[in-house]
Amino acid sequence: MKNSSLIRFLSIALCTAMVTSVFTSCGSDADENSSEVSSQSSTGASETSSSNQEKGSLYIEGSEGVTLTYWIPIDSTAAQNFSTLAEHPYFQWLQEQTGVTIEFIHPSYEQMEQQLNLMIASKEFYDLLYEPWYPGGPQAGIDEGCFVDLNPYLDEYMPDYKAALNCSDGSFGDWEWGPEKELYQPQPQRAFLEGCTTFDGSLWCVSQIWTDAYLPEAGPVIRKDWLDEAGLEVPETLDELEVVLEAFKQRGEDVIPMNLGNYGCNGLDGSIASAFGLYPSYFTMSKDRTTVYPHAYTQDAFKDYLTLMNDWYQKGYIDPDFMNRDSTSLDAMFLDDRLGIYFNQWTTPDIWEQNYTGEQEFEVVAMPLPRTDTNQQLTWLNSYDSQPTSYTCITTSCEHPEIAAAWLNVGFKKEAILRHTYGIEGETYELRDGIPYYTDAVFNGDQDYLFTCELFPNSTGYCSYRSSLMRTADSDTKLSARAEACLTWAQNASADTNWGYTVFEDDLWGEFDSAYNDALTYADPMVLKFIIGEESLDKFDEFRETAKSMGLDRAQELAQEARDKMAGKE
Amino acid sequence: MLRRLKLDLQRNYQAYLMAIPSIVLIFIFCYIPMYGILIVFQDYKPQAGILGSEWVGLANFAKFFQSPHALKVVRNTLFISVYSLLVNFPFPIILALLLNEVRSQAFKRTVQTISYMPYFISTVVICGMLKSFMAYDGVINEIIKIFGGEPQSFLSNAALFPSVIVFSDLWQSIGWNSIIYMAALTSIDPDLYEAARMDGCGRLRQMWHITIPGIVPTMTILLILSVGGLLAANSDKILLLYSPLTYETGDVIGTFIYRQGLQGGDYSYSEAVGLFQTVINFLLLVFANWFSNKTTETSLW
Repeated sequence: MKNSSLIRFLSIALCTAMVTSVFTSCGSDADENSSEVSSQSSTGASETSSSNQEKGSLYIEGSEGVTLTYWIPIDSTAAQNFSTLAEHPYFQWLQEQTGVTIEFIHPSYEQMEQQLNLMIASKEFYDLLYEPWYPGGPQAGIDEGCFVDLNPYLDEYMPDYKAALNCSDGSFGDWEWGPEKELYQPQPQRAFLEGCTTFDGSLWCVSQIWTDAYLPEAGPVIRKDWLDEAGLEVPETLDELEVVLEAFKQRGEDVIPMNLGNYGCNGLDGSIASAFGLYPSYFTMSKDRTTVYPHAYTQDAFKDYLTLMNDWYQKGYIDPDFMNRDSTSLDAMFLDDRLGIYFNQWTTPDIWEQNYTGEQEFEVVAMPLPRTDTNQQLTWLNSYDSQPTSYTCITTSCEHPEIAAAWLNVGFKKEAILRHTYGIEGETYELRDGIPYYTDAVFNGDQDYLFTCELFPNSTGYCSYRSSLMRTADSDTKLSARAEACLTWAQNASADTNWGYTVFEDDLWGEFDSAYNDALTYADPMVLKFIIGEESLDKFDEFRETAKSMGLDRAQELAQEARDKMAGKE
Repeated sequence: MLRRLKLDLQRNYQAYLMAIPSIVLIFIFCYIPMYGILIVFQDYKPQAGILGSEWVGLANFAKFFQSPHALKVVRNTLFISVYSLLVNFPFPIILALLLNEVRSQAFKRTVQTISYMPYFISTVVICGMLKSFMAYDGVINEIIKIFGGEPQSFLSNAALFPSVIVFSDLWQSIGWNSIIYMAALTSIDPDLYEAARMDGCGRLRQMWHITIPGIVPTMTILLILSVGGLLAANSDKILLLYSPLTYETGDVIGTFIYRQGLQGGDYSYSEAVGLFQTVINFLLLVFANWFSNKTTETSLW
């Protein structure tokens, strides 16, 4: 991933990875945009406009003749339509409005780390860098004279970003989102300020800010037509799930009722373990972010989880090869009538319908995370947290940091949000009483205009998850199956348990990493052996003690220590 | 000594002239970057550079050997490498010998082409194929079921994992590796065979007394080279095929470092273990060369 090096960031590389890969949909096909595509400033209309037109509300004073270089990979979807982002309608519009010319430099995703290291070594940077994961962490980047601390510019040039950073009650901005705000009520989230500030209080980046997080993007999906044939409802509890699994198993020898994720307990998100109050893939912490919880492997409930999985495995409910499947083969099995339940991303249900290869009817729905009983409120949700994502740093090579700051701030202004989330007024959206509504052009998909958010989710500024769900819909009132899936996975679950997102001091990060990995190298095989019955669960206590002494205890300690320091900085 | 060199230079100056570009190339691209090995003794940070990074001595090596898993991964690496050597070294020779005896050119060429085809498929694809072949519901288990056996998940069986790696390597590379022996075989003087036949040698006798001695130098050189690669188990393939269940036998140095270094991007640490591997391999190579020189009088230098 982008996080290189001896970093103070325990970025939960995973978390960042999840957010970026899901939302940018770019990581996977990154190699399409291979080498560096250097771009010229946008052409045509914009040249005449900046001088003649009257200056709009987004115009940045002093931007006359200023060109900023922006080092940013081009998203694979965008790359299919534009050779450079300077051709993208949103950025052309932005240039007209602000008067700032942006010259885009597009590294490929694989080259980013290497190119960044070269820039650091030569101390010659582009003006703006996208997700530069500084070896040693952001504070080191500022201390060593590579990145600019944005605090001095915050009040004067970035008032909108400042407001966005400090907002923690969900009331982002002063505009009304469209009817999609009825989709769900996001829980208030922690302000982004903490994640964007270093130990020493420097503001190190301008992050993309999601106004409505806390909706999972991955979860279990189930064959609805099989349920119908068996006369069953979509299961909501573990007991109901077991009945369904038995029914699926009866369908034939070739049918595998359910697949677990490769490590036997995370699916994509601990979808079954969450019924036991566990999140096994990483350290979690309390809602107020003061206490790092012991790792799931060391908790009593984990034994119960393993007992159940072992039971299901023996009964033939779980794919005997679950630890070896990759997502491609799982998709193939699912589409070939051989798999009943598995875990996948939100983008898939709609796509499956079209690719189905099997013989019978095919209908797939998202399954809510199973609970022990219908009164249980789940505390873990596979969603993302208010941490910097798709962020941009201003470097010391930038001659006009104040203009760069003002330009990055524009994404948090109402006009820009309307432009990149809703598109062009009259074409892709219309305002009714000041509230933007997508037009049928969007729902019918016959509009040439490509939204920045979908095409290029990396733009700095506000983004709305609900709006991107809405864009996949058929109309204002009928959502697509995949949008419904996200809502289903969020049912009965709250994000009371947090990712253990923690910033580490340089050396502690290395120590944490080795301790944690040493423990997992021992523990992961054991977990799988417990599930498939190669080891008896009587040995669970022994397993727990060994895993703790091998590093889980030490890792938790270090995470807590770093967490305390992080809290101390505010 | 010096005079002899001078004389040699005068006499063969054309040859030396021709060698210059490659010497320069190797010097620039292989020897100059070698100073980068320094980072194994440092806590390397790109911004500080190789000369500026903090000096930590042997801490990176200590970190590896203090890890509770170090012994296991070294053991696994050695086991898979030796196993692989024992299988992957003789079989291409046998294939080459057998093909050498085949009269029908058409058959021979067909076999050759088919056998080296897998070599040109990328490892990622090969591993994808292996996964689906060896899955619980894969081809191999279907065949086992036809013969009344119990299907099993090959890739989650730690005991079978080294064999999966080694024999899939064999399948992938047997044809390709036999090419060099085929080439060596063509250089054997046909008169020798004729003479042997006159003396009443059958086919097996001819193979034993003429063909094999004819390719022994090639075999020795290749064996020395593979001994030099003994500790470098095929970790990209293992990485694509293993799961926590097969860590017990499949977790090798390369994969262990990959997991440890992936999140941290700990260059110094990975480089230190890499250097450890290389040094051991180098010593093995020198030893094998010396041993071979003593016993067969064939050696690399």
